[in-house]
Amino acid sequence: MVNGVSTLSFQMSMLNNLKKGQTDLQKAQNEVASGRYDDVNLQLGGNTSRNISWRLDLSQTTQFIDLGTQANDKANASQAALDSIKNSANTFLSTLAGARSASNGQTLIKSSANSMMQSFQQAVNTSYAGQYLMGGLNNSNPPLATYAGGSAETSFDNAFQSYFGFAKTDPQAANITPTDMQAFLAGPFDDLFNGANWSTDYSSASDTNLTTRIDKSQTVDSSANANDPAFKNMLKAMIAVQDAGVGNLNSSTFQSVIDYALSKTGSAVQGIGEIESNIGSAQQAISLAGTKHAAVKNVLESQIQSTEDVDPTEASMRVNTLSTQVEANYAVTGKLQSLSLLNYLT
Amino acid sequence: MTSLTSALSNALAGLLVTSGQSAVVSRNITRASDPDYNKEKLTLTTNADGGVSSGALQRAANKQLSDALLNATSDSAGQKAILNAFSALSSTVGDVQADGSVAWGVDQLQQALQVSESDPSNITNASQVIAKAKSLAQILNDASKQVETVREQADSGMATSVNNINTLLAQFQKLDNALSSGTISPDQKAAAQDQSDAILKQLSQEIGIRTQSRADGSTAIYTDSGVTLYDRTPRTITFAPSLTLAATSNGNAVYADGVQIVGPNSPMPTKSGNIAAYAKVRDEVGPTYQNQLDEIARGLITTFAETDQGSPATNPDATGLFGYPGSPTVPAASTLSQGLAAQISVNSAFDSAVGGNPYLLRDGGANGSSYVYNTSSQSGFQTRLSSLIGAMTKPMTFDSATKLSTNYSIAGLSSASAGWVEQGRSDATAASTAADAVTSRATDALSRETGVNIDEEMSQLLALEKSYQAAAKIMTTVNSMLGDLMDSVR
Repeated sequence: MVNGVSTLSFQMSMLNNLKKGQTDLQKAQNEVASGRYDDVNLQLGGNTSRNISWRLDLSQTTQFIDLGTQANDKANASQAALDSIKNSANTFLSTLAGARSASNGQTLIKSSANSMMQSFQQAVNTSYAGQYLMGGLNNSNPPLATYAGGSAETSFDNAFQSYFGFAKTDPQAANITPTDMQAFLAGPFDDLFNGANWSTDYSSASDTNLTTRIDKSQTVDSSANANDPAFKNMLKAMIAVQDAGVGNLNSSTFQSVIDYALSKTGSAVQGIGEIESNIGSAQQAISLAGTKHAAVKNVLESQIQSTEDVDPTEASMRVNTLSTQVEANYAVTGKLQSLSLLNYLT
Repeated sequence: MTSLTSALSNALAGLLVTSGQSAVVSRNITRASDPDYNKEKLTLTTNADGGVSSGALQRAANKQLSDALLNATSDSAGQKAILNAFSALSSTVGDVQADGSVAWGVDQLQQALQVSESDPSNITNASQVIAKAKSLAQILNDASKQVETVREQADSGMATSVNNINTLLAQFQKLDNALSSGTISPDQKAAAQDQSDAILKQLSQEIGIRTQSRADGSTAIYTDSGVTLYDRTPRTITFAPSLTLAATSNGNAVYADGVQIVGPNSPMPTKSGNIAAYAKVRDEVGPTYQNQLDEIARGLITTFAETDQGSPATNPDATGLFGYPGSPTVPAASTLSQGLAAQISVNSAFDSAVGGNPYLLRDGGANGSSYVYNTSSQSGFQTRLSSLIGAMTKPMTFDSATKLSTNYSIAGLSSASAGWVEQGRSDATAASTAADAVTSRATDALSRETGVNIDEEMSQLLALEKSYQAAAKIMTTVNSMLGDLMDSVR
């Protein structure tokens, strides 16, 4: 005798088919709506760790792109400040050359150095987003102290007084010989810009620059430092023509001061050019890293997409197939319910 | 004359048998939708005089198929319990694109450090690092709490299972005693067998079992590992549930008949059913994930520890940004320290919300002046932050109790740990689906053998109706024949 299927298991299996069809349909609908697998983690299983790593790398990369942009902006701000110093230094050079033989050269150059000093200090103390760009690691204080009326001027006055025996404004300055002046400038004057004198009177910057992280293990230095010799040379030139007895000097001594200032300003302009080119190469490194990050970002995004996203066409086709299947299940269930001997017995 | 009388008595016997059979058919139909009911059939016996009478009541049964179903039920129940546990653990991971996993927290901290490194003097950046560190510590605490909850639920699930088993065995004893007493009526016997089968089915959800029938109708029950649960009398299953299960506590074992049947070092461990699954969750799955979290916590505490900056250094390393109750001692290297994930917190000296100083991370010195890195108080001091970033990305040695590779960066370990959970969930889902399919096949197969088909019963009823009609017709015919005879005699 053939064993018929029991009525209970027959009904249960119809019910199970219906339930399974509905669950699958719901999953497929979710997938169509979100474009990703219904339960991505379940789909990935052990590969979840791989995808999490990808996503973390992606967010790191995005952050490096941001940090790179910021660093580039900062470098641009430094470049602008350096440009302005360089331009005014060039103007200063021609003023110096003009003042050398002009009759009122001494007064002219003094006032020119004075205004140059102010714009120079402003440029060196450029700040960007609350950081003093040229302050090195001590970036919360303006690196360059004000000369006029500050301790720097006092130190200069003392050096002048002790070397020549009279104050810088004394008319006796007319008696200073070019040789004496040159010796003063190369000796006691130069010492004012070295070692402890420099850090006490002029600069609170630290020698180390703030570096910018542009990749997991790559940092670049993209700033100028107020302690750079270029800035010292610039200061030497300006202070020499401003205060080294200028106004009362005889013309040959004045010319030696001008010569000194010309040479210092020249090396300052050259030095600033070098700083600019260093920053330029840092910017190039930033932009290279940025290009790399953008490429990595694309790869990661497409990897994440290919493992977590469903094919939208396939998913919507699955919805169609499944809904047809569920409808068929309903129809069959209805038919089978009426398929009972009871309905035919009278 | 003998033949007419015997025709009449045979017809009468036919009526009786038919009505007995209809009673069975009607019982079959009434209980067609009871999954525990087994189809019954009334057999016929031929008497010495060639007539029929009702024989024994036969109950459809198939020991092989029911044993297969019991196995499948145990397996299915167990896999479902394991899947539930993994799903609960998986909530600590969340969707890969969602925020809030441990790996996400580690990454956020690392990114905040990088931002702070790019501008160390910025107080907002510094505070942001502390905020991210606090949220990471919270994520670890929560994840650890979740593991604890999962293990506690498994433990109380074991207690429930043990209770159920004891109750079911006591019920089984009543039925088994009746079945083996020999004084039970056939009807009662079939009903008692249905009930005892139902009890075995419930029992197999809790624990994997094997049964053995004895000649007198009694049945002995053993665990799938061979420990006696019932033989004439039930054995007591004992278990002492734990109120709380912190990372450091293990939970108690289950004993049947004095033999430990689950838990570590069990001589005859049961392999399937709820109890085995709960034990696996409580003693293997939960602790392994807990170990992973604890190692992540240890990695963080160690990485952010401060080193004596004196030369030569005289003081030992001391915990920095991340602390735990044992601070400032740094936990032993490469060794699991149980429960750290639940205890890790952010040192309040760093937290401006409670009067701390976020710059301590840049400068060092949370443990006194010997630990100050930024000795010249530079606002843009980057060295410490850079070395922390380097240390976070550098692989360190972890304890093998994580059951993962022992050489990972912190971020690497946390994403590997997430992968471990999801691998487990995916495996458990596959196993559970497979076990369900087997159960449904086994149910189907058994149901074909022992279940009721209403159509079949109805057609049998038609046949019975016809034979009843025929027997009645015989009686009326014999009656009229006898009447004719009487008439002719008169």
